[in-house]
Amino acid sequence: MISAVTRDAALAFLLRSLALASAGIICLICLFVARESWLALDSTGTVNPADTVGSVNADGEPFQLSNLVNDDGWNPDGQQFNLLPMIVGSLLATFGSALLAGPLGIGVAVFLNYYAPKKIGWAVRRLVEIMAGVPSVVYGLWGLSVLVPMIASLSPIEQGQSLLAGILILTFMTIPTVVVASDAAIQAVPANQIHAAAALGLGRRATVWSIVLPAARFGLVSAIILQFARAIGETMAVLMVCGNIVKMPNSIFAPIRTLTSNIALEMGYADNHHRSILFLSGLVGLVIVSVLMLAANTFSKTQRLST
Amino acid sequence: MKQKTNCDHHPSARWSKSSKVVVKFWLLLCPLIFAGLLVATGCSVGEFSGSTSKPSPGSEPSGRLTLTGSSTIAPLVQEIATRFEEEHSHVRVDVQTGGSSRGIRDAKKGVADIGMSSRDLKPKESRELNPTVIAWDGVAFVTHGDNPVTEISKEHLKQIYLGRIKNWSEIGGADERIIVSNRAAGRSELDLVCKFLEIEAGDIQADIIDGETQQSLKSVINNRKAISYTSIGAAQDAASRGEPLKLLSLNGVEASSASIESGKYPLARPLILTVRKRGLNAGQAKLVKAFLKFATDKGVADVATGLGFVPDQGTLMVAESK
Repeated sequence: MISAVTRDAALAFLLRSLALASAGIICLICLFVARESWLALDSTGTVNPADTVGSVNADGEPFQLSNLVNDDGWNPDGQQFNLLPMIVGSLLATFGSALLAGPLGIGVAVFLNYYAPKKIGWAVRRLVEIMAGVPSVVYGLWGLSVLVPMIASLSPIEQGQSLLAGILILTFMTIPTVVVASDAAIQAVPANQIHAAAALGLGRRATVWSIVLPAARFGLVSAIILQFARAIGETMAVLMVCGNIVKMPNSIFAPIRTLTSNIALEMGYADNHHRSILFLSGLVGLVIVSVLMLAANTFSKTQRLST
Repeated sequence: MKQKTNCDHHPSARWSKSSKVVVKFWLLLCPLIFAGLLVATGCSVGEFSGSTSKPSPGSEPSGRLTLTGSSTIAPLVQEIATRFEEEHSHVRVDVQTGGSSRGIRDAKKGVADIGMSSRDLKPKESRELNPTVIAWDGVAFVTHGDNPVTEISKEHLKQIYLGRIKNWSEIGGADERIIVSNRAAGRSELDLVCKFLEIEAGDIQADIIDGETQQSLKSVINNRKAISYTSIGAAQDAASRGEPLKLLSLNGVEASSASIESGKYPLARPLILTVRKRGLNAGQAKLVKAFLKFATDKGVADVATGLGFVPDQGTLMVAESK
């Protein structure tokens, strides 16, 4: 018979190695992406000045990192690699969906906990779970067949594939994330605080506004962060409804291309330098997400310390 | 020892019993995760060659064939491969898609035995690769079924794609904006259309960029003002299913497989299987040869016809975009 201590140690060891393995996988993915974008980075001449394989642009100049924001546009065949419109497109679509899905999702979570009758609450929770499980390509198909024609009839440029379509699709896709996470945050509010509010004679609205939401605010912020991460990484549905034109959008009805859908659109067809730049754009996306996550974490940490 | 008895009386004793099962489960899972890790990193890093079979001494071909490339030609090749496998029970044929360029690259590098391409080889590529035409397809310009325009000329198309003609009324349609749908970089349709219209891909002023064939069809079906271009086979198929889709006549020639067959349609393209000129081992070369012979045989011509393509009978003369 193995003693409990040994069993515990074995389990701890296993859990630790599993945690390490999953962290290791992330690191390996980062390393792999970096390795694949090396050709583009290498050809900047910073690593080996003599080596600028296949990376000379139309004017005969070697590729520089600054080309990623300074080139005239995105035209891989003409060695033009401006990522800026796609970075802006990704951020606009993501922020837009966060603005809609955040309040909506938190509202649903409040409704579930404080307003919904039991049966309806149960039904809504199951519905949200189903929504979370719908594959993104299905959202995309629905968006392309229903949402896009609807927007086309409203749009001043008479076209449905647009930033707006992307924002709406991302909103529908990420609401479940917000609901589930903020539901958990609201349920974690200590019951004695609620009881105290009831004892003081506070109504439902006052309890929610001045007790529950302030107490759960860190959980709610994490819910939005999760939403953000999910939205910025979304590829397939966005690719289907956004129009994929690489251009700075001048209105919410203008088509956009996101970083992720650019990779999905062109990776299978890209070669050498172009392929490497696509990996580099993946790395750029990774950096953007990391910076945003770090900023959000530091923000909520300083907030927590100041209270 | 005391600890043990302690533990047995502890409420968590039941849990620790089931934890043994959990531990066993993880013990099983751990190697799986690590194997997955290796695959995730090693597979795409290393040269993962499909041609690993050993030729058997008999005359009957056996082994494993890997084909990668164009998604236009893949359904055709898949069907042919299924029939090939039925006739040669010792052969496994793998068909993977990823675009013509990938097919050509994989064939060149030896990652695949055969590359599938829906465009002609460039001069540089044909130095290393041998092409075999197995069928012909065309690229049709398509609009919504309600659009009154039924035919279009090369010059008009050029003006539309360069953003100089912006309204359907300028070419005999309703007074509506033209929504121009283009294809993403690297698609063979884009290359073919640019070559035909004599324009640079970078100069095209599009409102929508679509990736796959079905997406470009959707763009037109869902918007009465849109124009797009796509595989004739796929467009004919969608139109026959009752989708509101119209194939425009090009320079007065109807866009149909019949026009491709007669050689009159100007935007025809070959569906090609490419093989490395050097570097295949003897057994694999034999297998590849057998497959190519099978794919160009009259016996499988019905597969191409069924998919809206025109089977290549060797005698077919197709008007290149001259």
